Amino acid sequence: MKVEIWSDVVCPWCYIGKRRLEHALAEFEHADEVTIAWRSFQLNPDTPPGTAVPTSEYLVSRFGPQASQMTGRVAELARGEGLDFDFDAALTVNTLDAHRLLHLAADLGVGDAAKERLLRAHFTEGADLSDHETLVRLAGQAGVDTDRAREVLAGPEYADAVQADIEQARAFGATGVPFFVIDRKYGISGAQPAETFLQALRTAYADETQDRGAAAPR
Amino acid sequence: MSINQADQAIPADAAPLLRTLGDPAAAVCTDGFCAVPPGAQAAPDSAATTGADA
Repeated sequence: MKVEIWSDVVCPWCYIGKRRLEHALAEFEHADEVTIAWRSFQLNPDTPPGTAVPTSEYLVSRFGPQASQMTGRVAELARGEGLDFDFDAALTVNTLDAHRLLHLAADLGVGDAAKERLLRAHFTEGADLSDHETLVRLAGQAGVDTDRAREVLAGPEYADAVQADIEQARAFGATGVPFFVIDRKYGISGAQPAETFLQALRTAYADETQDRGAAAPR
Repeated sequence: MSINQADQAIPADAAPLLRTLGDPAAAVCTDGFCAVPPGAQAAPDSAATTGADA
């Protein structure tokens, strides 16, 4: 079974959804048959590259004083998943380069580790995910060759892959993230409770098993 | 980031390429930051309360 996950590294519900899916997989009887593929989605594609605006300031400028109440609530829910969100330190950036590195990491077999590292860097450590040296450092910590990471960031490599992911999400009708797709048959939108993910995995697995049985020669 | 909260990430008129599972009102981010939808649940061992705050 293949689970594809469209998300952005600055999306709080994506990080929470990741944890909840992990909890579901820990309970899933056939987790060893599941592969995860991270797909790119940009929440703020119009953010100028190379700029980093404090997320708290950005939200207040756009939504007023209620922004801090909102982030407080999300941080509270994140804590329930064992995640430590620091919105006061977070920086709003263009995430295209981060996504390009995630594609490189996936090609090198460390996509999940890189995704986790970038999410933690943004939400907990206040890292600037548009800064190339920061990205190289984080990628290196996730197991990516740092010279290769620098090479990718110096050019346009993987930009087409990022765009293809975004277009595929649109083709599926997804307008938000996280967005989970199982075997290109089932779509699951949002940070669902772990039990919902578990039920979806079981449903998809049962379907796949049934399909295999029907296709088997008699 | 914005505080926009989509009612659901799969529009009703979208081509039915995928069978939808789960609660369509689960929390998503649209064009930026994400609100806490009504009924958003913290983990069972969390002291967090639930409810909308937008």
